[in-house]
Amino acid sequence: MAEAPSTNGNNPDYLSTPTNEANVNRTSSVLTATRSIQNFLQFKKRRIRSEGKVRTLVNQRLFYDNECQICDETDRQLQQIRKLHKTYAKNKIQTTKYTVLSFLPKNLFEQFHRFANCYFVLIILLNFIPEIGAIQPFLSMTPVIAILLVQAIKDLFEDYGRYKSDREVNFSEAEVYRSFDDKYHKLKWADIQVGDIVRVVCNSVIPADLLLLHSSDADGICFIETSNIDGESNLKQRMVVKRHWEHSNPNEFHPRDFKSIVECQTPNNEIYKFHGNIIPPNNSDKIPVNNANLLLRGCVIRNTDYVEGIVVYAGHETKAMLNNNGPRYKRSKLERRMNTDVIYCVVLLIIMCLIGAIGNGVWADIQDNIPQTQLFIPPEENGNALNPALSGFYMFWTMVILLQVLIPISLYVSVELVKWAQVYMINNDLDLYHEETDTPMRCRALNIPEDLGQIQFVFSDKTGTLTENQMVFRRCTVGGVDYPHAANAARIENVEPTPDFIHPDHTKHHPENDLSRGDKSRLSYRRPHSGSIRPHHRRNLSTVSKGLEDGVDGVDGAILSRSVPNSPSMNRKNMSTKRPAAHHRRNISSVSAKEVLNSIAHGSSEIIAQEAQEQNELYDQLPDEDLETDVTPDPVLFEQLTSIPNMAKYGSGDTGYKLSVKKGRIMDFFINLAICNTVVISNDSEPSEPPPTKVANNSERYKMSGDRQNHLEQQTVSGKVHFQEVNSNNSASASPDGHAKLTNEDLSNIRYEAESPDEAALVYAAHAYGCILSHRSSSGGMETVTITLPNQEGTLTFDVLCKLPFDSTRKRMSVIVRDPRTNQVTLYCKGADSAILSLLSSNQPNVGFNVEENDDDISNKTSNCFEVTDATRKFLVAYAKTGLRTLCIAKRSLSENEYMEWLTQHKEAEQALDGRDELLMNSFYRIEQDLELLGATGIEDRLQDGVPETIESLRQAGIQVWVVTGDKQETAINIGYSCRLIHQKDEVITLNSESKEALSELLDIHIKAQEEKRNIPPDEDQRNSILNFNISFILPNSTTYPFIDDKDNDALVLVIDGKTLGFALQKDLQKKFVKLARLCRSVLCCRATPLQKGEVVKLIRDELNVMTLAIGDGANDVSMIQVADVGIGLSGQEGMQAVMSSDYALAQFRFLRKLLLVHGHWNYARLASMVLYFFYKNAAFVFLIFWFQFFCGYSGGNMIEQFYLLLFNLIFTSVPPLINGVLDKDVSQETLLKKPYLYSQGIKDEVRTHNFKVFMETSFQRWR
Amino acid sequence: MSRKPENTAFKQQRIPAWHPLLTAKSVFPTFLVVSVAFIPIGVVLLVNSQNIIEIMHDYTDCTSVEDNSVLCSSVRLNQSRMEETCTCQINVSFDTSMSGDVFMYYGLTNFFQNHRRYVKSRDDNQLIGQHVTQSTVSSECLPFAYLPNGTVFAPCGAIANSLFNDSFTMIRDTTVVPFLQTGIAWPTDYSQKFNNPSPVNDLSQAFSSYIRPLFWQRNVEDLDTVTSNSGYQNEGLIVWMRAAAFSHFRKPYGRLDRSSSEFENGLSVGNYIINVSYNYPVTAFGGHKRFILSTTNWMGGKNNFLGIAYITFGCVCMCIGVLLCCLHYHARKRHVVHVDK
Repeated sequence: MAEAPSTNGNNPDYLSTPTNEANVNRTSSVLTATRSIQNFLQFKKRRIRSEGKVRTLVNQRLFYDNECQICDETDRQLQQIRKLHKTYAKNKIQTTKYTVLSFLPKNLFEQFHRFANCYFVLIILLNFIPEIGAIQPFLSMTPVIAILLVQAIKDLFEDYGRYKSDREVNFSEAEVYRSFDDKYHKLKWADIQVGDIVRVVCNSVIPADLLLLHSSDADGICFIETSNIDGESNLKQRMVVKRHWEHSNPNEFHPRDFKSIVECQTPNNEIYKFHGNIIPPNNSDKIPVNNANLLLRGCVIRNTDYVEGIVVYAGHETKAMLNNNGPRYKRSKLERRMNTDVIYCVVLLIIMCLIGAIGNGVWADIQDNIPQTQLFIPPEENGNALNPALSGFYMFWTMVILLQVLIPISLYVSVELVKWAQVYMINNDLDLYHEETDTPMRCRALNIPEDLGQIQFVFSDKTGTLTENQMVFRRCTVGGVDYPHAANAARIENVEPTPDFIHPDHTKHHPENDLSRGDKSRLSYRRPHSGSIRPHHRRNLSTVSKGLEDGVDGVDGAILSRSVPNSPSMNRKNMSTKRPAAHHRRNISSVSAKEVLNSIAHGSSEIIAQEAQEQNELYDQLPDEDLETDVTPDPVLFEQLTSIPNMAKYGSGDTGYKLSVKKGRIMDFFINLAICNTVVISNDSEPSEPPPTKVANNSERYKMSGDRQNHLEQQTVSGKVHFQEVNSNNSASASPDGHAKLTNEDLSNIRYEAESPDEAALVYAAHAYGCILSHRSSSGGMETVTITLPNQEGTLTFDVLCKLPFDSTRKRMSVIVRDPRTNQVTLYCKGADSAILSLLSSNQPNVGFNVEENDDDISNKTSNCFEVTDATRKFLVAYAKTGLRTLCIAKRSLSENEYMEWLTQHKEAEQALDGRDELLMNSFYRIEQDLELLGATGIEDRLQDGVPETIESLRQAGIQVWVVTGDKQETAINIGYSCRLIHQKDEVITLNSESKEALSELLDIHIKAQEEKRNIPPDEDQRNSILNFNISFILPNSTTYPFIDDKDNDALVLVIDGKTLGFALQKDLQKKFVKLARLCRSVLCCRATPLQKGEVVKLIRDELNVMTLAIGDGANDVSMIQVADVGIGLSGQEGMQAVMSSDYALAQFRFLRKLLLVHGHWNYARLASMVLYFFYKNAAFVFLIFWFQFFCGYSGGNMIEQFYLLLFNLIFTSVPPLINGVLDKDVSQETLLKKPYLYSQGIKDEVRTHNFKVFMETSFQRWR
Repeated sequence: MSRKPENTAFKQQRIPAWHPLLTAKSVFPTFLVVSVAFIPIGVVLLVNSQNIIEIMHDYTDCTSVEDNSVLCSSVRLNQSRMEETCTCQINVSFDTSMSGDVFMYYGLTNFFQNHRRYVKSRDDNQLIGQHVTQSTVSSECLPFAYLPNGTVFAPCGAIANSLFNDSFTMIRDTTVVPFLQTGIAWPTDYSQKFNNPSPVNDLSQAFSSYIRPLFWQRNVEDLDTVTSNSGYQNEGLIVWMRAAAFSHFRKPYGRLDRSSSEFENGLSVGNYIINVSYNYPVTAFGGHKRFILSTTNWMGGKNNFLGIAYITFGCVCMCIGVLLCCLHYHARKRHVVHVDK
């Protein structure tokens, strides 16, 4: 590490505050640069010694140029940095373990790390001792050499693969700036160093972790696709470091001019975290840089012509490489058992050897007394007979060599091979392949495939695991008024009528009756299969409908006006904005009112029915994408929104026009939906040009638009009101500004890429209402968001002052913007209801609005009036009960002073390198207060395919299924019903308590009640009952089913919320909780934090000593996945964090069924019988030799030729167990799926004895 | 590029498999079939074995021909009389003729030829015809490898050293019954594992640099008068060098020479005298010596075990089969069984 001169050592807090000296000398940029380098070098030195948390780097160019403007004095400093640079990893990667030279020693060394190989060597060494040697020493080496060779070849093969891919990567080319001719050169990736300035063009892969310095985009943003790292395919936006070019033109970046020093964290593997500062040479304020400025190695540049950046981490120090920690190793249960079996073998071996040794001693002693035995007992070399004791001692070791086969060393190799084959089989299963996402099953842990066959508890996340995590905006409430979005519900609802399986108790007491029928059946929504829709269907539909509804303005209008009486006949185009690909959107809309149509046509001709049928088919064929992006607005709300005149001008003073509270709230509500997010607006993956122009240049898009225009024409013919007409009706006064150049087509073409799907759902919802997030730009470090208003009234451009990103502790995100209408600083916040409702201001806020209309309607009351909040709360509960995810939408108006005060503190927090997260969090808490509630949204998350069936199967298999979710209790219970985790007749125990004592009491009561009910003696050891519960499938009448759901008996379901769970997980209540939970058929844990999820799994795993499986898809499931014996990650919408920490990656929850019931059972049965086979063949062999000892005078002789003895395991008997382990099927796949209870053999660990047991049962059944 | 797995029978695990569910019904026929097959086989084997004529005589405690009051065994026990010869006479008579090939065996009991150190104590290189010296002779032979002066034993090792050296002469009336001491070793042993050192045509020269094992009375090249059966290629030696698996064993000594017309059909009924030159000491370690004459047939020598084993196993299978059969039909009458409903 570089030794920096310690000239100025008394500046401990350099990073957080610039030195005074530096400030004084601001005029002399040269000097300050010097100073700062000096200072930072000291800092560097100290830091490296103390914590080593900071890496510093400068442009590589500074090392090679003489023209650098830093004066001579600093050359020494530059040398120091240069030295530091040398300590950083180069961009060349080498993932190979060996080189040509090091292969042999290194590989041997590694192999001898294994216990098995050492055992072999010990045996060989013993063989070299003449008194002991049972087998010719050199001959005895053959098996070891063979095994080492096989292993070495396998290692070599693997390493060669790595070498090839390394080479490919290292030899890829990238453009790197070189100063000698002031140009970018094509260099190999391997030659890139930290501090190099690299240019990456569109659609190429980023060669190292870059700090983004310049982008071809005028706003300084660029888009990257991170699918190589986290599997998320949506585009992410990255921004150029703010203000680093302050002195020059932002759009004319030249690597020559970048003289700043970059300091950042030392390499770490946190992909989503990056902090650092840029220290400009003129020593103005340090510029904080963060994750948004960092381009990670392996990502691909999209939608941007080129970017330039400085390499901060290279090669193995890049975040992607540090995160790449290879396959995981776990010990499976069977393997653990196998180890104890091996220990038994060792004990047995020792006993046999002792018998041999003692026998030998005694025999030798007897023979000693008889003359002439030297005829067959050769004396020692010196001619004397051996001392019997010594002879016995030698004999012991001879026997060890002779009976070594009993310790099945080759078993480990065989088991590994078998598992490898089993994993291969699982990976290649077509049934576990998800066609839509092209995702096959992926086994990340290679050595626990048989654990899948012994699972007793499944812990599942809800969102994204049981449900699709494809969020659809369902309904909302604004200012205490519910807007049910009936048409939207109908649209989302599946055509298939599904039985209403919701427990009456849970549907009866809805506060609002208008929760439509769809709300209930919606839960069983089946994902339609994608397909194209033939145009004539559309036309047919229109014609028929037209014929039917003569005199009404077309199908859609008719439907709407019927379904919602007070809705105006509205332009469909305006009603639901569509993505360009959704050229069949009109079908969606018409079907949305399918029921209405049907009810109108009730009893009429068959043709109508046929048509309805046809529509159903059409509906079935919708690609699900559109369900997400399409929203059919609620007519009432839409009317209210569009009736607001002069939206863009409101509050600007010159009109003097004031909005009613109600309308202002609606307005704010949609503005919040549109801007309070981090979605990326994208049109297509075309490079260059900022979005608006790009759209205009996109000829293909035009073509598509033209197509749409045709359709539009068609509709006009069928009685449709043309868009322009509506437009002129509603908003004559609209004066579109520059941004309004976007044609209507372009606006509806907009696509949003969001990191979390509910974010996108909300933006799409706002889009549907005409509040279109149309442009995001960040120029000169100032970010602006532009939204297009409904009714073509123009646009609003908000200056984004600050973004407070979402995190799981706060459970909310906010943006602080300057409202162009009032010029007021406003905070828009959205988040979980629990996170928002507690932050509402208690006093009457919002004096800015005058009450214009004097309605009695509560929606005109100021927002935080008790009634509004209370009504909203009620709706939240109601939404949750129908399984919707709820978000609260709130805002806060800030005074200029308030804001400025907060901002200074916030900036300090931002610049801190240590504890920045905590400081930022505090800062967020300071500003997110006194919120004014605008409303709430309900987003639907549909159940995945096959979830109820899967859960049913798992339960029949004897697996207890728990759902551990962060969602609300009501939502969770509802999902519980819909996925058949809870049956109609089930008794649901809900545990909600505020204190530990209360919970303790509650638990006692419930346990007692249940025990009485089931006549379980209270003191019976429950553990036994769970381990021995017996599902006899041969004679079902002969056994009891304490856990399996008897259709006649009510089962018990436990529901516990996060807070209560916290108490239950404490030491003293654990036992009671587990006791009660064990009586239940399933348990739902709601509002559980990620940590609690892990704790629950751990508790059950340790307390009941059972095999657990955790399945989840999000980062919040990681702890659970890691704790469980088998962790399964769903490669869904929420990134790859769950997958990265999992043992198995699935695409769909329903695959779990086959994975466990078929693969799990097979793997377990195969491996169990293989292990047994192995022990058997070895034991048969060894006992034969042992038996022989009684006949050969305990001399360690054997009756088998040495070659055969040694090759017995290696050649003669190695393949049959392997084949048995890979291909055996004890029960066919179909039977296993049909009869899930067969799985319980694995749980009870009785596959080994199963056949015999069945035989005995069937033979002697009469006497049972 | 799709990551869709291939739809092949192997990858989708559609290769046919059969895993019978064992029930009384499915199992009892197998038992019956096995018993039906095994019992006749056992009977055939047993009858064949019974047809073999075997004459065995334990001559451990025979008296000396020279001095009727002395047991030959006691002569051999006495170290001082080691050089004396002692001959026994065994009278054998049989009432059925031994037709076909007749083999003469000697049998030893309590002789642990399977002792590990004994088995190891040989030098295969030497036996294959290589010349060995004190430095190249296998250390396994020790302490029977060489004399203190460095002369190597030919052959070395404990097995060779303890070569069985009784000899048998069978006399009928006055004619010596001709027994050949060739054709009794494994052909492969004779041709592959045992060869004389060069020059093979002058054995006395070939073995001139070696000395005979300590217990031997003759040199290895003098084991037989015929060159092809002397030296390491002496079949008696080869037979002895193939160590027996148990401490009670028999080894072939010779086979009847059926080339003369008199013994063309084997040994006819009558009285025979067998002169045994009693050299091998066995009483010292509690062993016994036997002399055996036996005919053979297609299944080898006399061996009742195999037939009895077959019959026993067949009977057991029969019992189990019948039991299961009864269980099955009995149970079916009483119960309607729901297997896997």
